[in-house]
Order: sequence, then C-alpha cells, then structure tokens
Amino acid sequence: MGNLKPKLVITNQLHVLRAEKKITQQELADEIGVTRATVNALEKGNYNPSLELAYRLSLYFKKNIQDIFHVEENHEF
Amino acid sequence: MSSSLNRFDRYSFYYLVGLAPVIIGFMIWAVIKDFANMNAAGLGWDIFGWVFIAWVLIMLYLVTKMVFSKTIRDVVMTKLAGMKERDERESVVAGNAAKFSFLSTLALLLFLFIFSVTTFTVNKHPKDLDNKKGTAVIGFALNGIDETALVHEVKGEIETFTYKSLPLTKPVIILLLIFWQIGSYHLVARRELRE
Repeated sequence: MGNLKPKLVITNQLHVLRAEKKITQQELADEIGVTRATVNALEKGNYNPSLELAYRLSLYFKKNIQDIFHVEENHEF
Repeated sequence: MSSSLNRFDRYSFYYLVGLAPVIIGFMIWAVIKDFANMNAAGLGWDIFGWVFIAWVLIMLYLVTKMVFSKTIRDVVMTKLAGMKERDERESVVAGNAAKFSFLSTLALLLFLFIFSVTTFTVNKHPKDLDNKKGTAVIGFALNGIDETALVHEVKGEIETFTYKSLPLTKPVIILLLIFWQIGSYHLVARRELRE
C-alpha cells in the first residue's frame, strides 16, 4: 500500500483512425467483434481494452499497438 | 435459450411461460370471485385442475433443477436478471455489477439474520421488585424447525397432510443463504485461481 506507483493513463487514436477510414462506430464494432457501445467507450477513454482486443484493433488498422494506444504516467493521487 | 437446454426442459419452459398469463389471470379471478367457496365441478374444471397441477409440478421441477444445473441456471437467470455479456466490456460491467450485488445481498442477509434472531422483552412491574419497576431482556433465539410448515390433521375420518412452506425457520433459511453465498464464492474463486 505504501509503495504507490503512478497511475497509467491510456489514451488512444481510435477516433482519428476511424475517421481516416470513414467508417462508423457500428462498422468498426462489427469488424472487431464488439458492441457499438464498447467502441464508443474505447474512443472516450472510458474503457481500456484487453490485450486481445488491442491486437484485433491493431490488425484491423494495420498499425502497431503503440501507434494506436499511448501511455502516460499520472503522478496525481 | 433453446439450443443449450435438452428437449424436455425446453418444452417445460414453453409450457411454464406460455401458460403463466392464464394461471396468473385465473389466480386473480379466483381471489376476486372467492373461488374457494365456489362449486367448481365438471369436466372443464377437472381438465383445468390437471393443467394447473402439471404447471405447478413443472415449476417445482425447473426451480429445483436450476439450483443444481449450471446450464439451465445460466440460460434462465441471465435472461431474468437482464445480464448482457456480448463482449469483454459487458463482461467486465457484469462482473462489477455482480460483485456489488453479491456484497450488498450478503450485507442484507446478515442484517435480516441478526434482526430475525434478536429478541427484546420489556417487563413493567406493578410493584417495585428489587428496587426496580421494570426489566428489559435482550438476547438471541434460533429455532431450526418451523413446526407450522408441515401439518397433519385428523378430523373424524378425514386425515390431512398439508405442506405450507419449507419446514425451516426464517433465520435458518437466511443462515443457509449466507453460508451458500460465501461457500459458493470461495469454491469457484479457488478453482479459478488454481487453473
């Protein structure tokens, strides 16, 4: 409990990448096998995907995971 | 629902759910029209009686099977609770909701158990007794068997056995639920952690 690590904040470029592809949230959801609400939650940063889902997004957009998701350290506790 | 249940269970469910509006409608009508004091005789009533008996027996069969069969429980209870797990995010949401529900139900059961075994008595004495005008007694009482649940009566030549409810008292049922909740949680959690 005493050794508090800074919280990792994960942001993503899904909104931008989806706009570049000119597809709707529903179309992306169908492609990666989730619901539209989950795509919306991912884009808003309300939900961090599993590694499997991150790979599915990476394969779909043909980009590395690091190009889609960015990690920042939040030192505020 | 249909694919994961065997044929008998599937048709049992169709029978139970399909006839539910008729049975519920009849129950409401029976209360309004004071059915207990009506002379309901004839072939129609006999047929309805058998249909009703079958409905109740099927309901008892399904609720009993639901306790022991994970398949049937998953199919029915997820529908009844409106649980959705269409993707990983919904599974996480369902898990969080289930945790909240589990802990709050456990707290509620504990509350109900403590209040159902606590006894409180106040006595007022007309005259001073050991310099006291009254006494208060607080304690716990736990009786296991509800003797009014199973009744055997003999009136003349008529012998009647009546089942009214589970022959266990409320506190014991609540205690069993508490043990079941904690026990089943540990059973599944330990199994999953070992894998």
